[in-house]
Parts: sequence; structure tokens; C-alpha cells
Amino acid sequence: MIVKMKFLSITGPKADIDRVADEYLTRYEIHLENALSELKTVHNLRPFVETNPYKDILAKANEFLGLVDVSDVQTEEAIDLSEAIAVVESLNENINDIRNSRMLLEDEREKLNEALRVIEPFQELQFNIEEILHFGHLKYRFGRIPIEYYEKFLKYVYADLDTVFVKCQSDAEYVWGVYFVPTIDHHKTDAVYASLHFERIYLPDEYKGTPEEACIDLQNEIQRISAKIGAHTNQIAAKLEDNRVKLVRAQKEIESMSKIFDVRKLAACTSQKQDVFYIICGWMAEPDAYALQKEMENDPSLYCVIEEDDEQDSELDTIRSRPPTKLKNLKLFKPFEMFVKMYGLPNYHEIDPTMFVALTYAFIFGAMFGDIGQGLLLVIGGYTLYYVKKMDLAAIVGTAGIFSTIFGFLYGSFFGFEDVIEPLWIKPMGHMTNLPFIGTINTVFVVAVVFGMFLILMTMCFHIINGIRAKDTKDTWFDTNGVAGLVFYASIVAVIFLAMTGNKTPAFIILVIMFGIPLLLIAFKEPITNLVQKKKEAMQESRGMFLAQAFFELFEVLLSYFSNTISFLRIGAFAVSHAAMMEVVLMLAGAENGGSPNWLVIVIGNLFVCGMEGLIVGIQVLRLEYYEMFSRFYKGTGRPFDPFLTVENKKSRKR
Amino acid sequence: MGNLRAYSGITTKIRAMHKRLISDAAFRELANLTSVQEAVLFLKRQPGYQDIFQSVDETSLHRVEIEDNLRSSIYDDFSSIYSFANMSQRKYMDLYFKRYEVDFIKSCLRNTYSNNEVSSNDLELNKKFFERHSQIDLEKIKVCTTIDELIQGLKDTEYYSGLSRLEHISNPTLFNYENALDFQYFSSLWKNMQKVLDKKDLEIIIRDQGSKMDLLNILWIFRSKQYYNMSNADVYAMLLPHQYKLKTMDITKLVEASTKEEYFQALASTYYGKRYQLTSIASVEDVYAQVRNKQHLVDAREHPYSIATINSYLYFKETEVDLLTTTLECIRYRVEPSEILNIIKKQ
Repeated sequence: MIVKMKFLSITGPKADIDRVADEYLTRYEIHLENALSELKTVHNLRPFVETNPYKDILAKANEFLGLVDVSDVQTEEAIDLSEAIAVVESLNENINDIRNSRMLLEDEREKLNEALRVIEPFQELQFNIEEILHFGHLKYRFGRIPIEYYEKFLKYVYADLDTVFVKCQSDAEYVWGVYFVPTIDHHKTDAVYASLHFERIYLPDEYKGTPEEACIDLQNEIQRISAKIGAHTNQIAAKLEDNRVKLVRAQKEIESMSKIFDVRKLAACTSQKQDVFYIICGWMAEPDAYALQKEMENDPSLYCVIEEDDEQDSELDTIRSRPPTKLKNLKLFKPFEMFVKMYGLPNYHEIDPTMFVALTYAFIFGAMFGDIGQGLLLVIGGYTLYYVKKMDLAAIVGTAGIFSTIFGFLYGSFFGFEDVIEPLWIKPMGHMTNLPFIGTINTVFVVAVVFGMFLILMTMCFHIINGIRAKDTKDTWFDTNGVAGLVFYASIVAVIFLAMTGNKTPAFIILVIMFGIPLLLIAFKEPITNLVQKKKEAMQESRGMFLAQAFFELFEVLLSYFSNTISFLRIGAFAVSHAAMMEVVLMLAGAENGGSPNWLVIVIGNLFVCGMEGLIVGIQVLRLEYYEMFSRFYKGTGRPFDPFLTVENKKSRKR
Repeated sequence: MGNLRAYSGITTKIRAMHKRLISDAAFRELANLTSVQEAVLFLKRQPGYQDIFQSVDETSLHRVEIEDNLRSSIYDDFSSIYSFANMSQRKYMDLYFKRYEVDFIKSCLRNTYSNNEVSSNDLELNKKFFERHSQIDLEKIKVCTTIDELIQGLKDTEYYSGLSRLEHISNPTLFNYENALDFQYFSSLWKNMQKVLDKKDLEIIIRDQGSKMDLLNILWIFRSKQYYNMSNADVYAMLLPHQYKLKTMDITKLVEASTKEEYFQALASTYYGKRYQLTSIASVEDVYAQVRNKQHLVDAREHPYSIATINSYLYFKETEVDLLTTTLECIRYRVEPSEILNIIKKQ
């Protein structure tokens, strides 16, 4: 079911907005809309702009919470806002000193890292840096040279140059190294190096020992400082740890106040100079809306209007945004909302297909996977998992398992043993039906296709209902799934039924009327709709193109009727295959001739078939739901009902 | 057999395209024209150029526009061969394409250096072609006004690391940038062609590109020493990365030569010196053109079902455009027809 929504607007003096939000909006679920864009027709509105005073303190509280583990803290108790702010601020002051000294340490570490980066590539140099830096008659140059120029340097230049190049590390682009050159004439050599794109790196006179030693020293120093930083962080965490319960409560309170404050983002203000009023508006479930209105009647500074929606007044619909969709279903069906949401939430005016999905899904699953034992396993496993982990999918498996069990009795199958229980209906593997034109065929196949036809007819009816609700003439009457399609398909079903049961088929004229007219309507749905709605341009494209397109579309329509119907064969196929697979398991276990079976093989085989086939059948049924059924009537273009404050949040604030 | 199948279509296509190249007789006719308008009218009659020049008005064409149009005829030919090529041939053509990319970046660099706008006409004309083949974001390049912006605009391309490295050297010049681009082009071509070509094709291309690099190095060493007085180290830094028939010794001798005489002495002892009469730089330049012409002719004839057909056709097309550009320029400056033919060697 889709919950009926009411659009309501609340207005009052500007300064009063926080009280209203805190007092009323926290107790009712309301889907707020942006008042400015919603009330386009009301002039002289401007946005309600005010900076959130809780923003900074909330950020701080969140930062602190990130540093401590609070997963086990219960927050039943609430604290006052001023107290909450005091808690966070005192904590902040408390750890400020430690944080400042940590920051200094971090700066220092950054500097050391920089020094390390400079010296790191020169580690191959086995010489004391300090000594190099104080050479008297030799000039030294630390630096790097692009690798391709280094190759040229070695190839052409190095042999004839008065210089020693000590190669250090290299990567894909550069070779690092130091070159030495006599002080006399060093300009010439420097020029040669410069020509080969040697880039000098200036080392500060702060390194001790060889580069390698310097690196190790630096790394040690960095580690030492990192440890100090870690200690500081731990200190901060310890301080927070002592106050963590208070902190969690404070954060909760500030967060909800901040959220309430943010109601302004969706509100609008009137634009007078004095006596400014705010307006907020949004969607509420119908009973909630009336309850809230009643409560607000006693409040002198509040004015609450519920817009009564006129069915005829479609103009209003174009002004206002579409109502959001809130699904409300029996607890048993609720997990199946997952499948619906996966496809798309229903539009507010659409039928909620949840119940339909729940029933058909579980039923078809059962029919494809009929086994008392394995079905019961699914029921127990599924529901246990649902209650422990709250997984929707587990509940779906459980519900499907119930039908599995029921069909198990109908097929007489218990953990693959087909002869323990007498079937209430038939054995899917062996039971055959004799049909005219077709011959002998498994009964379950016939039943599956008949059932499929029934489902297709049903979904067509849903489509028509949706079309009427949306006031869409084309969809209701001329669509493949509209009245025209329904008449055509129902006629085919009827004729086949008559033929198969050995009755006489209707006269040729009747057949032409029953098949021909609906098909023509479907082919020419666009021009006919335009004609009916008295629009101009019955046919937009050129006639030839239109006819060719209509012909091929019609061909596709017919083909899809056929393939969709045949698609339901899979229900029967899986019913048969389940029995066949279990037969193989029994054969492997050596039980087919009445000998004593290998129980281990039977248990493992059952688990394997249960898991494997359960998965495949689960997917196949979902496929049937989406392709064969949903595509006929369901659009799924709704938007979710997103309450301004969630129920959980409200509970903690009821005090 | 495999190659025959892979190349039969494209070779036929290229043979047909060969027919549209301008013949020597037509060049002689062109050289005898007396004005640029007439020359453009002449081009409008040539099957290889009529499509491109059809829509332009010969009386109002600027020199740059004519040259842009001539260039885009190369791109058109490249595209039509490309659409005929199979996957492995396209891989080589992708490598080949980079020379156009490098030319394009060079012209952008020059324009920025001289504070001109990046030629928008050229961009518009060849936008589609570059969008299809190039890794460069043309929109980004278009708005650049400084070298730094231009280099930043090339950030996601293979040219970035070579160009951005030049920031570290003092006063990089246009020459440094162009040299870095050439360097990148030849090294990536050399490295990647080993991956995309099979053995026989690779041999052909190594011969072609190797001798090209050798001859370019010989030319560049001469020019940089005689005309620009560059230091030996600078000359070494500028050289192209791979040698084919030149030995390292040859190169050092050429670079270390301090006079013209020494240079040609050194040149005489190299592979190329022994083969050709290289006594003046004009003869080196001639030999460069000769060697490449001959190699392409021979390759295309002897290995019709190989990468040589693509490679050679593009070479001939590019050479033709160069000659046309030169001829048009000569016509503009009223050079005597016989002199023109002498310059473009089509007597």
C-alpha cells in the first residue's frame, strides 16, 4: 500500500522557528520540501538565511568522537544543549596545549622529511659529507641529470673531461650523482655539465657522516618524533576516553539541534521589513497531518494549513511537486519491498506492487522448488537469519520456503526421496498430459504456461488501472498492455483453450474482429490517440515511414506476447529439474535400488542442490517478476518519502 | 601470404592515391606560373588538392591559409589510409602520427614565443583529425598565452615530462623545447616500433628511421658548429638518441672538428662519406633528400605488401607538400622558373 499524503504548510513569526521545529517536527515524520521552489505562486518570498551556530562545535565534537571508540556507549539519557556545548568546549580547552605541541612536532618532522628527501638519492656515496663540503681545491656539485643525457655524457663527453662523476641512485627519469672538479678551470666543466642538463642540488651543511649514515640518523630522528606525536595523540585520546559517555551525549544533542536549525534551508521568509514570518511546507502521512494540525490549533503563534487535494484540480498538480512515496505493508510482505525498490519506487499514483510481488514470488518459487525437507530448511534458516541480522533477503527466503514446503507435499518430495510421501497432486517428472496438435507433454509444463497466461492477463489489468489513474488515454486503451492488448491476448487464450479442450473454434468473422481490431488499434495508437484527444497532426511523419515502422513494431509486439508466455515454461522446467537433480544425488548415494544409501552423500547432495538450485530459482523468479510482469504495468518513477527527522532521532528527544 | 592478405586492400588503395600525387611535368607547369592566384587555380585542378581548395577563394587567400590547407591534405590522406588499415597497421600509424603532433606543438610554442595566438585557422581546419588521433586536449591548448601554460596544458601527454624538466635549466630557449620534443618523438618511435612491427616490417622502418636520424645528426652537428658556434657539450646534448650506421667515434670526430675542413675530413671516413661525395653542406643536404627518396622508392617497390607502402606514401606526400610550399613561395617572390626548378630539383 502507498500511504496517502497531505501537503501542509506551517507559518509563524520568524524568531519562533526553532521552538516549532523542536516541539512539533521532532515528533512527526514530515517530508519537507524547499518552500521557495514549492510556493512559486506566492510572491515576495525570500530564502531564510542564517549561519548555523552549531556548525563549529559540531565539527569539533565529531572530530573528538573520531578519536575514541564509542560503539558500546548507550545514549538513553539526554543532556541540555548548554551543558553539551560546555562539555565539548571544556574538552577542547583541555587538550589544546597537547595539540599545539603536537603541531610543532609535526612541523619538525616535515622539515626532517625534507632533509631526508634531499640526501636519500646520494646514499651510494661512501664519503663523509661534511668533509666534501669543506674541500679546498676541489669543487663538488651534487645534483641530478636526465637519464638520456647521462647516456650521452658517458658516451661522448666523460672520457675527455677533467672531472669525476660519482653515480648514485637512479630512477626512470634521472640519475643522481656528485661530480668533482678542480677549482681551477671549474667554469668550463660546469658549463659542459649545464649543457647536459645537470641540475644542481644544494646540500645544507647539516648532515653528519656519509649520506647513508645521515639517512639512518634522519630516519631514526623521524621515528623518534613520530613516536612522540603518537604519544601526544594517545594522551588526547585518553582525555577524551574519560569523558566519552558525556561526549557521545553532547554530540547527539548538538547534532540534533544543528539538524533542527537547518530547517531554515528549506524554509522561506516573507519579505516585509517588520513582522517577518517564516513558511515551511512538506508532505505528511494523512493521519499524522490531521493530528499535527489539531495540536497546533491551540498554539497562538502558529498557523497550519492542510491543502485538500481536489481530484479534479489537476492544475495544482502541475504547480506542486509530486507527493513522495511511503510504502506501508503487512510485516509479512515488508521484506519484499526490497525487490520493488530495486526496480524503482512506485509513483505516488501507481499501484504498490509489493503484495503482488510477495505472493507471486513465493508461489512461483515454491512451484519451481517443491521439497518438504529443503523447504523447511529454507524457512528455518531464512527466518533465523532475519531475526538475528535483520536481512530482508533472509525473510524473503523464509517466506519462499513456506511455499516450497507446501509444493513439497503436492509433489510428494522429501529431501529427494520421491516415494516416502504420497503426492497430493502429481509427480512433476512422470505425469503426462495428452494435448491435441502437440502430443504428450509434462503436465507441469502445461500448468505453468496456463498460469503464465493468467498472470499476463492480470498484469494487463493492473496496467489499465494505472492508466486510468494517470488519466492517460493512450496507455489505457491502445497500448500493448492496454485494453486493446488485453482483448487480443484474452481472445488468443480463449481460442487456444477451446481448441485444446476439443471444442469448436469460433467463426472466422469473430476471429478477425477479436484479433484484427485490437492489433490495428495498437499499430496506430499514436494517430488514434491524437484523434481522440482532438489534437492536430494526426500523423507527424510521412505515411510510408509510419506504416513501415508500425508494421515492424506490431511484429515485435506479437513476438513478445509469444515469448513472454513461453517464458513461463521455466516454472515447470525447474520443477522437473529439481526432481531430476535429486534423483542423481540418490543415484550417487546408491539408494536407487532400495539398497542402504550412503548418508554422507545424501546430506552433502541435498545441501548442494538446496543452495545451488535455491540461488538459480531465486534469480529466475526475479527475472520473471521484472521482465514478464513489471514491464507490463509498472514504471517505478516515485521518489522516496524522506522525513526531516527520523523516528529514532525523535525517541531520544522525547523527554 | 599472411602479409599479402593483410596488405592487399591497403596497397591497392595507396596505389590509387599515388596517381593523385603531382607529377614532375605538373611541377614544371606550376613553376612557370606568375602569380599565387594562378598557382591556387592550378592546385584546384589537381585531383589530390581539388577537394580542399574547392571552397576557398583564390583571390583572398593568405599565405598561412594556403599552407594550412596543404598540410591538411596530408592529414586527409593519413586518415583515408588509416581507415583502410587493420589493427596492427594502425598501431604503427599511431606512432607515425606523433610527428604531426610534435609539429603542432612546435608551432604552438613558436606562436606563444612570438606572442601570436595559436593559429586558430589551423586548429579549426584539423580539429577533427587531431581529436581522433591526438592525446592533446585542443581546447586547453587553444587558450594558452605563455610557455608555462602551454606545458601545463600538455600535462597528460608523453611530452610533459621532457618539457617540464626544462624548467630546471637556466633560461630555456625555444630551441631547447623543440629539441626536447624531437628527442621524445624519436625515442618513443624507436622504442615502440619494436613492439608493434613484425620482423620484416621492423627492418624496413629501422633502415628508414635509422638513416634519417644519422643524416639529421650529421646535418645538425654541422649547422650548430658552423652557424651557431655551440659548445661541444651543447651539441652532444642536442643529438638524436639512436645511431644506425654512424659509430660513436664518428660522432665525436664530427663534433670535435674545429674547422670545416676537419669536419668534412671526419665525414669522409663515415659510412655515408664513403658512399657519397660529401664535400659541402649543400651536398649533405642533397644526399639527405636523395637517400630518403631512393630508400622509399626501393622499399615500396621491393616490399609492396609491407609497412613500407604506407610509410613511403606518407613520405612522398609530405615531401610533395614541402615542395609545393617552396614553389609557391618562389612564385610569390617572382623567382625565375628555371631557378625554381633548380631549387625543387625537378628539372
